[in-house]
Amino acid sequence: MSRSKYIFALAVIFASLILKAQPNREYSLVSLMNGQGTFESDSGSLFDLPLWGYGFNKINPTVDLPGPTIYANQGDSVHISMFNPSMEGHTIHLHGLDVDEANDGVPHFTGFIQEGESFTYKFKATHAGNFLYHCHVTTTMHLTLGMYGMVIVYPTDSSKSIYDGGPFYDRQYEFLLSEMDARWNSDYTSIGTFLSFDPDLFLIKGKNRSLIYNDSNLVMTGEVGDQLLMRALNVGYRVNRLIFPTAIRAEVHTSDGRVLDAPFETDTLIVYPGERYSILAEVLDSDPSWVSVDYLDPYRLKFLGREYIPINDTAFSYIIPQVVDNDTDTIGVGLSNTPISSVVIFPNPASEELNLKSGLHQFQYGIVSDIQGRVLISKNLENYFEVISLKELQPGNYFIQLQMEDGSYLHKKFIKEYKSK
Amino acid sequence: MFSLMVLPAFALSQKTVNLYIVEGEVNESNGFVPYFTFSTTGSFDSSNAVLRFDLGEVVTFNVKNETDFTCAFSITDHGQLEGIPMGETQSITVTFSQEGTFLYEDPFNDHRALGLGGMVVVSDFSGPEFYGVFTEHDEEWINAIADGGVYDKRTYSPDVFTINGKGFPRTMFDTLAMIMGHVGDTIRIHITNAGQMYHFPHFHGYHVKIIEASKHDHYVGWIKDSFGIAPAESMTLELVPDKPGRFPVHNHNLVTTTYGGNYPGGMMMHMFIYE
Repeated sequence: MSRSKYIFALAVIFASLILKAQPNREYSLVSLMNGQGTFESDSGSLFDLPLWGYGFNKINPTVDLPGPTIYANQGDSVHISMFNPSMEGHTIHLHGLDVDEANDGVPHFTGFIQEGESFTYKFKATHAGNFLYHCHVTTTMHLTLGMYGMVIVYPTDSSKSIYDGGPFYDRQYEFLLSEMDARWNSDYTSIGTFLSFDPDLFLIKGKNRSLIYNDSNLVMTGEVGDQLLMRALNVGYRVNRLIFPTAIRAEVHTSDGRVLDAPFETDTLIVYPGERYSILAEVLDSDPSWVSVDYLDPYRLKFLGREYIPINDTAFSYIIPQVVDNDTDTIGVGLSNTPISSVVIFPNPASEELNLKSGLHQFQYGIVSDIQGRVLISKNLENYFEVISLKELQPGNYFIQLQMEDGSYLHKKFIKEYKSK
Repeated sequence: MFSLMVLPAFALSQKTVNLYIVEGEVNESNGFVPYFTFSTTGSFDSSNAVLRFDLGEVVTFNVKNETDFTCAFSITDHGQLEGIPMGETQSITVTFSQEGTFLYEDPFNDHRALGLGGMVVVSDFSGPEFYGVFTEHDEEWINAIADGGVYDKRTYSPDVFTINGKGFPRTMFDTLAMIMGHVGDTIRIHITNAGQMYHFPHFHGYHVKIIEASKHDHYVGWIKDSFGIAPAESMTLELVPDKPGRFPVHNHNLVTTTYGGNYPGGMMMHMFIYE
């Protein structure tokens, strides 16, 4: 290589280093262990809980739940400096942003930010979409105590489209889904085993119940024909199920910051821990309605709790959901060659009647509900063999909850179909 | 139709695999508990043997039940031995005419919860491949199933979470699950959920392409960094790393990244990618 070429190459490398070092977006955060949040109890009263979390680095910083949202355009270089004035080590893991090892925030490779220290996390926003950040130190505890937030990447030109060249929207809403175990937050020193995690607060962007309806950022509003972008991000340890009302037409466009080749329309969307989706919701009916957000256990997707995302609705009233899960049998017998006690429902799909047959316990009570949790049939039962008439039901998917004479419950799904003549 | 195309070329490719259903024990958080796995050697290993075959291979499995209860054997989509009395051996011959990742298990009386669930991979892929069988363990269930007791399926409280029968940091020394490669490599990762719960692998550093999913089939073709895998589901993932680095792959239900209730542990494996 000639001398001039060599100098030119050096200049290019130097220039690119300078360009790389110049961020388009800079955020300055702190990590704190002395925050406080307000939540609503089942009885409707408000109470406070201690929080850990992130806040903006300013005089007298406070914990935000979730932490400050990081916004960028596709192509931006983003710098997030984090100062840790708290007594334990913390990091920021940029979930889904595919950063390099040095900026990944994993303590067993790159250590953590100790008390009184700072670090600047750097990444390039390569894809429009929805991402997360959270502390990766003793993550099981630090995250759920409140150390998490969102990274939202807009298209290159910051236009109101889901991604470069993607569909346009009128307004966007960020629904960060998580849950909290009040016992853990109230005294983190007495958590004990991490296996004890038993969440009793189900949160949408750090809020629950009427606090969601009182937050204008969380109430979706639109006229008929408006396109509303719903960003759904699950940073919790439980499964979320979104059930969309007939007042909107929901179409899923991106997942985990990547465009789906084939967008799809759906009335229900499961969002697993760590997953993110962009959903374009077209308003079909401007009357008040809501999106149900269910929180399900990873074992058999058992129902744990529900919160509501309001659409054109600010009058809060908590609708107690009917507990639906898809438990099929409840007691197992490990004895070799002994048949598992089970309940059979047939035919499925059914048209006029649903037959119930139990091998072990007599039936006591049956409840048929639809996918929204509305109870449509409830009936006293008493035998090992029972028949439930489905004549009143529209064709569709239903749940049946059966109580047995020994007090156990089980749930099954069935389909009512059109009777063919 | 597909099998007709490949069978003539592989018709002579007959293989025999001896599988032993054996009892051992694993170190749970409160001590050692009985545990059962499929072994190709007859001696106990907490990891079920990963069985990899070429497309078109015809394989006879001789399954010997060395436990003191009746067992069964099945490979998803490929057939089943209905009941293998204790001490006996039964055989099944399977033609692997479909590429993919499949669960094999003892499907009888929840025996998979004893540990009896592993992975069959059928592939003509010649690049680097890695394998992870995700399972969780509930001591009460194991004892009840193995000893003929009664257990309540509504209450499942697993306290140990493993990949290939090992929890982090032991996953770092498991050549099946310790993903090693170079920038630009096309790497395949096969995962199977042999547990009773949903699990949620999350990749640091890279997105992966889901090229096969036996239950979440809508995922196929998606580029993901986090996703769910259902009980008894298998998936094939493709990873093309664009930078070097050391990155975890872990379950984002963070209760499962523990051992003995402490973090880190459990369902966490790693990728070491070099220039």
